[in-house]
Amino acid sequence: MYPTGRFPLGSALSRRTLLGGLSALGLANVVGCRSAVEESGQGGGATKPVRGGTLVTTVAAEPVPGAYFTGRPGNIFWCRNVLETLLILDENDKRIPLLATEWSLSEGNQTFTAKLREGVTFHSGRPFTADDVVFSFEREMAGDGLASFNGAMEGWQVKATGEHEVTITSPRPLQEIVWPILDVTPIIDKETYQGLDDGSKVIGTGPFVWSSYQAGTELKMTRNDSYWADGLPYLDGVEITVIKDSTAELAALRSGRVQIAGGLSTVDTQTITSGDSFDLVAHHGLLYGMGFDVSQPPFDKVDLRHAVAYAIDRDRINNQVMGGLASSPSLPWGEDATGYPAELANTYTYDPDKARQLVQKAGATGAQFTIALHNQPVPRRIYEIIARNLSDVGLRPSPRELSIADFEPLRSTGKLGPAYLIWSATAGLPPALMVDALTELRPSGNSQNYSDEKYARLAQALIDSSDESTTATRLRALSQKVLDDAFFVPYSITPITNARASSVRDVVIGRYGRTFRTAYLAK
Amino acid sequence: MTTDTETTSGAARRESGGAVRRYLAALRTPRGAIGAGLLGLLVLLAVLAPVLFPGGYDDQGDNALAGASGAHWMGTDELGRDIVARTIFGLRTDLTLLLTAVPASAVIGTLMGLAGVISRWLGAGMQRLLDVILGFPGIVLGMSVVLVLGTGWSALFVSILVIGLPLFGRQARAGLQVEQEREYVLAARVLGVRRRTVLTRHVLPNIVDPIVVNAAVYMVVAVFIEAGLSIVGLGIQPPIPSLGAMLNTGARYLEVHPAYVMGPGLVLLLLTLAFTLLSNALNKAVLRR
Amino acid sequence: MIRFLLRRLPSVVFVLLTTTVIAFLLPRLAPGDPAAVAAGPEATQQQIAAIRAEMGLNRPLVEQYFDWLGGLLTGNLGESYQFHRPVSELIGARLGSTVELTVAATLIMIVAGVGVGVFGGSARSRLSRFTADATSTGMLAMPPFLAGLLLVILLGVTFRVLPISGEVAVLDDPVIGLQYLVLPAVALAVPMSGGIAMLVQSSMDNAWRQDYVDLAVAKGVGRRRITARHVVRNSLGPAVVAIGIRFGEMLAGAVVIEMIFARNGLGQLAVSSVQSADYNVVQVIIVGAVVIAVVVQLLTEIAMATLDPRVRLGV
Repeated sequence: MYPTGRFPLGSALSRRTLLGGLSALGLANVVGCRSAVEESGQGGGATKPVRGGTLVTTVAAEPVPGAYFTGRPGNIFWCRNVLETLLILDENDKRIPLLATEWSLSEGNQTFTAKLREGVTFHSGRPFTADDVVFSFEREMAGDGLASFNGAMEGWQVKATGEHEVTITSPRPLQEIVWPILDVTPIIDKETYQGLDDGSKVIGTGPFVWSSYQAGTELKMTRNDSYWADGLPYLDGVEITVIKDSTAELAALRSGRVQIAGGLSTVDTQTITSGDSFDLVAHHGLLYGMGFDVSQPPFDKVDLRHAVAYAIDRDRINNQVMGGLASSPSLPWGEDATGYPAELANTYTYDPDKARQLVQKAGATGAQFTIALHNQPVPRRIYEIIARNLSDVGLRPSPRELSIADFEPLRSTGKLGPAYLIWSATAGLPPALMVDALTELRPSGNSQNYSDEKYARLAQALIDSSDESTTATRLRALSQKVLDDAFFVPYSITPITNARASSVRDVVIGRYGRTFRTAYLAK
Repeated sequence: MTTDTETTSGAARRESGGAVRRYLAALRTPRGAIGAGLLGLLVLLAVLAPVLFPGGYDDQGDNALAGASGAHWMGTDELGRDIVARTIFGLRTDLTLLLTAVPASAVIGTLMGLAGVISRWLGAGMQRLLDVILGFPGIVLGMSVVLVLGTGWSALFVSILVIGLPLFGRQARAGLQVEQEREYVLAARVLGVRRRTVLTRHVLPNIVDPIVVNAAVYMVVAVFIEAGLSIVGLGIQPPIPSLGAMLNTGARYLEVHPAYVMGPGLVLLLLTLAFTLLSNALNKAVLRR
Repeated sequence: MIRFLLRRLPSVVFVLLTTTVIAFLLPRLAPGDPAAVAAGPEATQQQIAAIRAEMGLNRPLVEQYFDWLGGLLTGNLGESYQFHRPVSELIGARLGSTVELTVAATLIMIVAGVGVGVFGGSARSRLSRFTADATSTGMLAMPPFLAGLLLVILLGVTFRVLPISGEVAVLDDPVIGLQYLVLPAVALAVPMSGGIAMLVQSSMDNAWRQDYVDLAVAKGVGRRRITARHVVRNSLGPAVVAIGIRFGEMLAGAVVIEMIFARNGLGQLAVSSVQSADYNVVQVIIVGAVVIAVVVQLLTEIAMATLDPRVRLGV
């Protein structure tokens, strides 16, 4: 679906070699007998797993242990290493068993049964059983989990049907949606879960043990010596440092102080990976799109919404913001979705003339409105392109920048104003899950004050589909409706990118976090 | 808040005329001439920006982060826009901000400082208020303003205005106190000349010098405020360029495209240099008397 | 001195109290709803309402203020919305880094500022005066972040001599820690020392014109000795004031420098708290910054009096 895996990009940076030479000549020693530059340096080369070493990672957003259920960007390097899931979906959506060993679907795909791994213990020493799975799901459904998945899990019965067996029964078919939900549900320790809230006690079954935590700045994990997989993990420990400024983050990578950086924009990541020492890791996806308040002028007119859909220069966004790695479909779903209607994907392409006509048809030439956006570099850059596109077709947008903390409450109450830009980690989830998980696509209670009986019916039909062919037919009908009403206009689905030192090998990349259970630092 | 000229403040000026002549003399010193010349050049560039760059600051192209070429002397930014054009328009943004916010700050600050003329209580109250503002380190005050007003032009304007108030207010107050003790002022009051007349005839002309010098000094601080807030991401809203905002984005491409930082960085340095030289020259000219 | 402190007390208390009022009102003036922010992006309306009640946002404003102030005075600074950790802990964890940076920068500022200033003030040849002038003007005009970026390009990327990102506490490992500290401290100190240098130089110029210097010259005292004994000594007063005043600016400059050099200090915390509307943290930082600035100002006044007995503590 997206370009995945590692890309050593472009030509080598000759300056780096030169610099290496310079410091080898002893320039680094000018400073003193010990040099911090040297001490943090790293090398690279072999292919066989090596035991030992500490992996240092950096994130731009701070780790928030209290948000262990949600895919916060700051949590990607610790969450799946301390707390494990029943299974993890890797970057190719392959199901890798962790705490579950096998599973099956039955009863018209409405019952899911999983056999659990035996002989697993929490970091506290307590044995892991089916009750812990039930407990974790209960917490999730009680509101600790992603609010966006609550609708899909409504009416679920999660029961321990043996000491090491769990059964989920649902009023709706599960074959599409159960995997991503298992992927997002970490198994927590019922005795200590309250410690997760402030990070004072974080207990899981994972390959690494939460050892020291400074809120907002630093987190250290050490090897779990009694991990259930023999010989794993290879690493002695993992450290996460928070570096908010991208220049500084790039500098930290360059200096060898850190080996993996998350939270850099794609373009920044490409900058650093253009040399030899770093690989670009691209995986899963973020969906970028524009929502409109359809209950108030000017976007109560569907023609104007279509005009915007034609006005946006998706290729420019892809090339100049997403580093050319994105796809630019008119539909919000990932191309891997069951029954993806590929022929509808390019309904809206860049066509300023048509957009201008539609603006005139809507009688909106010269219309002034605000576009709300997150006060982050990537949304800003997208805004600049879209604002330019819209001015070119006769509209007059102005920005309304909000912090994420201010933006999201307004989004969930539909008060962001006439238009707004969002990005969402729901990209690539099954459409049956997305229509509930992505606020913009919800039949009711969405952020655009959009309410349409036919849309609601089509969305429900998709959720109720229990096999591939009905899913495909219904997804096509729903897609057509989304395109016609254009209450949400996607313009980019782009992989999440990280820069990673070439010496780091065998990282499993999940949607909500990496697991370093098999990772090692090549010498 | 830089109060380099505080040493000059006590010595308030006696003579009311000749201020302009003094400033012109300052411009004839080497520092003054260079500072004024630089500033004149920068203002000229900023004013002529729309003529020099008819494409404006938001002329996006396909060739992003390109190196220098005949069409783009310093290459292009991440959206394929000409860096020189954006730098000059950014300079225009900065100068507009400075030349509106700093005088506003000077006028309001001075009035606050002179409030003591109306009533002793008001004067003291204003001083306390200025003390409070002075207590806030510049960028902390700026961030507080951003918290209330959101990011954008108005937050920058208000920040620069408010941060400068104590500088001008205390100066005016000190000047006022010195002048009020002077014989000719006492004499005028004994003779029954109205307060306002005393103020406008005698006090104001004599505190003009420090205000002008301080305004020049504060220009530099104001540039720092704009750029500082922009660099931590709390500056002007896109797509309008400002020197600080360009440094903020340009810093991401230090290695692939150093000109992106160098262009706005150089102009910003020239701008602060111009104001530093000018304020030095003015200060010296004023002191020398 | 005690009398002086007592005299200054009312205005200091007034400044601090007003600051707390401002800091308290900020979140209420801001467009966002503190309860919605605290509840997080995924919260429902009911959860927000519950949190509003829990935070006491429904109670009268005055009551809330005195509660909050009481908390400040007793060291109960509240909890961060982002991290669900006590604000005091967040600040405590970052204080060391910022203190290291500002102390190092202040030292550099004093050495460089007074050094260049004394050099300029005692120089006689046109060339050395010009050099001193140009240096201090250049430093004054150079914004800390620009200095930072240039240092990063020059020393961190082109010649990899010093680390440009991150930190190691100096107390933990002095050799490595100092290396991490040098560049950010220099970047922070440069523009401030320009101002100091200029001030020292101009007050030295002034001092040269004073009667006691003339007297000393008439008595045949050597120029070097006059410079050291009379001129420099009597010119440092304004510099001390300027250093004191600049300490607040130094804290402000630290915000930007910490961003550029990836130091996890209070500046980082301030910026991220503003960006994510973590009001409890912002409030404490504002009050804290003002307290420090006011205290340093007081100390400056005291130091000035010690340095120059003519100044009575009562300005």
